[in-house]
Formats: sequence, structure tokens, C-alpha cells
Amino acid sequence: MKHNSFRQRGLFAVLAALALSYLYPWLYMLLRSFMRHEPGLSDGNGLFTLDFYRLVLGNAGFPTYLYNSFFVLTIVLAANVVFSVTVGYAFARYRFPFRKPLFWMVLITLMVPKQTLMIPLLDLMVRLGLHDTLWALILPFCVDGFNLFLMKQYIEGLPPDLEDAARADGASEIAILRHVVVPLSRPAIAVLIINTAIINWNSFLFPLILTDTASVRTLPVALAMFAQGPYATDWGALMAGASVSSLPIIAIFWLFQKEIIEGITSGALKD
Amino acid sequence: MIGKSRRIGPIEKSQQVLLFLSPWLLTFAVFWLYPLLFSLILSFCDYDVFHPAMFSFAGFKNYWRLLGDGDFMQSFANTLIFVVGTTPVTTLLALALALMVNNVSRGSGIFRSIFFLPSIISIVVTATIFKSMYSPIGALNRFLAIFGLPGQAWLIEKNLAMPAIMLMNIWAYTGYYMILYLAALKAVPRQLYEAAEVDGADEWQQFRYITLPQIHYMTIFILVVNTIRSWQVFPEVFTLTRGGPVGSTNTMVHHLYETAFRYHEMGYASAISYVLLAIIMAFSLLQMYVLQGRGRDGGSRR
Repeated sequence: MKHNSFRQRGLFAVLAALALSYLYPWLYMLLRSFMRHEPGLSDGNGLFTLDFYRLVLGNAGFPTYLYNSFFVLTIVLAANVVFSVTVGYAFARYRFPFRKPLFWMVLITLMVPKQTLMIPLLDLMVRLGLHDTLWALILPFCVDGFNLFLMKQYIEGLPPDLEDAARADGASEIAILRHVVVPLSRPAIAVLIINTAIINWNSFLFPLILTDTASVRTLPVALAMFAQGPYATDWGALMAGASVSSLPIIAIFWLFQKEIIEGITSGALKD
Repeated sequence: MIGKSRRIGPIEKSQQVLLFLSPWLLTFAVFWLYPLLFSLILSFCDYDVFHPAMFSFAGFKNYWRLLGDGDFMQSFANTLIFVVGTTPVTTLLALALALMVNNVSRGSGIFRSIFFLPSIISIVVTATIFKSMYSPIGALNRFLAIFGLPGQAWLIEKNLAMPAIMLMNIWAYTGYYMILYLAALKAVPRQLYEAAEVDGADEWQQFRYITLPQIHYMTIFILVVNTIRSWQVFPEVFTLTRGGPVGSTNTMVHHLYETAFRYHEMGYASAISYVLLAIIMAFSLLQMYVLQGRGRDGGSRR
């Protein structure tokens, strides 16, 4: 296609204006979180302060929420990697009774809105004594249907020769998984990790329902509660909370954005 | 899509299969099948999780009640407005951004990142920032004042709260769909454009007769996925308005949440959740139909 420089400049200007409207909320968040507004100062001007971060990282308990989010994510990620590979491998390579109907079940789990499951899940967690613990946010999410689907499709596409050769050499099924299937599946596992991490880190509804106490809150729930509590209109405090909640992700985004975009694109089947 | 296993596994491996499948079978049974069925039963009962003794069978009462419940009907209408008001805009804007980012010769990578970033950040963070920008003395009103326009109480005014949430939602999610469109655009064979150029097709004709048909499946896919997501809108409502003012932003999932966890009418809430399930399932089946159609045509995105 032809690119004349006049049109290119126009295109660039439009994109730059749009980009500014996309950057503005982040800049606003940062500026607001570092500025104390005193009466008598003209609008938009403020004094530099770290008070809001002191509040958020101190009394408001954000380090605890950060730890909770991280704890839940770590275990959910590890479980999803291990189980998606093993279950995906079983679906891809073994022939067993009810294989097809069971795999249809995996697909159907992806279609049902999670809100339909939330009341019985709360009921179950109360009965198991896991309500209001981090385990309630971990156990139901250790084997995700979409991840199984992803791994099964990927492993099916791998040549089975290497596995057969390893099997002929007497390797156990676990050893074949560890030394043949997993190394070959690295790209799919990366996609799985990225998708699961974003979804789990941002998860809101279930952590909101399955926990009550502040000490077991994850970041998104804690921030939503913070935005409704006594600091509901303390914009500096709220923006410091928002920035503490989002800066780790923004940093990770800049480091891994190529992988994240690849992950989103190939994981487009799931929202 | 299913059942193309190349090698038939030895049947004596059956306990191996069971070992590999067991984590999923367990999760599936305990955390999916049981809740799904229990939820269905609950929708025909009166029940509160925190007072399990007061359990009673209610027949179709909960479903009949839905029809006459003005709050539920309002939440349904609000959600419909939200879906119809955001999904086409997000899709069109995503396509426009993708086309521009794809064609700009300088800075396309950085533009892509800037537009994409909001979609991987928790919507609660976004809502918190917008809550401040929407406040009567917030950034939006100050921006309007530059043009001499009067400020508004965005989240407090009955007719403005829903549009304000919709605008934020569009801002937050457009970049995600732009990424999908970019992938689709990259997959369009270059020869098609070269051939069209030889035939003297102008750029609009190339877009209309090559690009659009080539990314047709992605458009349908985005519309369906976006619709499914939008029907479930909740965290932004919870953070910004709690359904107010006077129920004008009370969406279905928010109504479901309030019914279950504020009023503890969990049987009735389960009935609402099954209405939601019916709606989402319908769109999910449409999505599968679309994806299989793409499979048949062999039009892969990569």
C-alpha cells in the first residue's frame, strides 16, 4: 500500500490524540496519588506528598492484599500447569471409555456463566469450613476447562514419534510427560500461564463472595471496599490504592508484552 | 475439532488414564456439576446459605415471581441497554484502532501497547480512577469547563450514570479486541491486495472487498464474545454505583448479587442465575457454531 507522508502525519496525529486519552487516566492516577491539595492553592496545584502511599501501605493493609493475591495466584498457576498437561495429555493420547462425552463436558463448562455456580459454591465452602479462607479461592480454580482444551489441542498436534521412542526405551508415562511432552509444549504452557495469571489476578466476583474478613481479601476486592469505605471520596488515597494495585501489572506488562499479546491472541477463545 | 487422536493408547494403561484424569474429574464433579445441579434445585426452593434449616420447597414460585418483579425487569432492561450500547461501539472502535495501528508507519508498537494496557488491568482499578474523574469536581467536568460546558454529577444523575459506566467500559476493553483484530489483519494474504492494486482497486474498495470479508469471522467472534462478557457486567457497577441512582445501573448480575447476598433470598437468586445461564448459553452456542464454521472454511487466524 502507498504511504504518502501527509496521510501518515494525519494518521499519527489522530492516534496520538487517542493515545493521550488512553494515557490520561494513568497519569491522573499517579499525579493525584502524590499530591496533597490544600485549601487556598489554586485548582490542579498541590504539594508533593507520600502520605497517601503511607496510608495505603500502612493502615489500609495493602501489603496483606498483595500477599493474598500473590499466594492464590501462585498455587492456582502451579496447579493449572501440572493438571492441564496431564489431563490434556490423557485426552490427546489415550483412548478410553467416555472420552468424547467427557471432553464435551470440558467444553460445556466453558459455556456456563460462573454466576450460576456461586450460591452453591458458597454453600459448599461454608459446609467444608473453607469459607473466608484463601483455599476457597484456590480449590475450585485449580483445573480450568479452557486450559485443558488448550493443552489437549496442542499436544494432539505434536508428533507422537518421540513419545513412542521413549516408551520403547522403557520410560514411564510420567517420565515421557516430563522429558518429552512438557519441553515440546512450552509455547502452549506460556499462553496458559499468561491467560490464567491475568484472569486470576483480576478475579473479583468469587473472592468477593467467598471471603468476608479483610485479612483474606485479594487486591481487587480490597480496592473496591476501600473505594466505598471512609476513604470513598479521598481521591488521593484512592489513587494511591489504585496505583499500588496496578503498578505491578503495568511493570509486568512492559516486560512481557510480546508474550502477553501472543497469549491473548491464541487464547482468544476465552474471555 | 475433537477426536483426532493419532495413536490409540494401550488399554492396560487404564489406571494411568484415571490417575491423569482424576484432578479434573474431581474438580468437575465437586466444583461444577454439583453446584450447577444444586443451583437448579435451589431455584425451586426458598433457601439461605447462612440459615440452612429454613429450607422449603417452593415449586415454580421463584420463576413466576421474576415475571412480576419490577426490579428484576429493570435490571434486565439495564443490562440489555448496556450490551446494545457498548458492544457495537467497542467492536467498531477496536476495528478502527486496529486499522490505524496497522497502517501507521511510526510508533505502531507503542500505540498498540497504550490502547491494550487497560484491558489487562483489573476493572476495579479502572473504575476507581474513573470514579474520581467522574466526581463533580473531577477531571471530566474540568475538561468540559475548558469548552464552557456545564459540569454534571455523572454517577449521581439518573440519566447519566449508566452512560458513564458504559463509556468507561468501552475505554477499558476496546484494546483487547483491537489486539484480536490486529491478529486477523496480519493473517490476510498480501497477494490479495497486490492483485487488487493491479486491478486498480482504490483503498476503500480494498477494505470493503478484501479486508472486511477476510476478517469477517473475527468480527462475529468479537461481537459474540463481547456480548457474553457484557451480559455479566458487575465489578464496575459494584465499585461505581452499587446499582444506583434509583436502580438505573442495576444490572442482572448486580441484582443477582444483591438478592443473594444482601437480602439472602438464595432460592430466588438461583432462579435469576438460571435466566442468566439461558441467555449466556444461547450466545455460547452461537459462538461454537461460528467457530466451527471457521474451521470448515479452513480460515485460520495464524
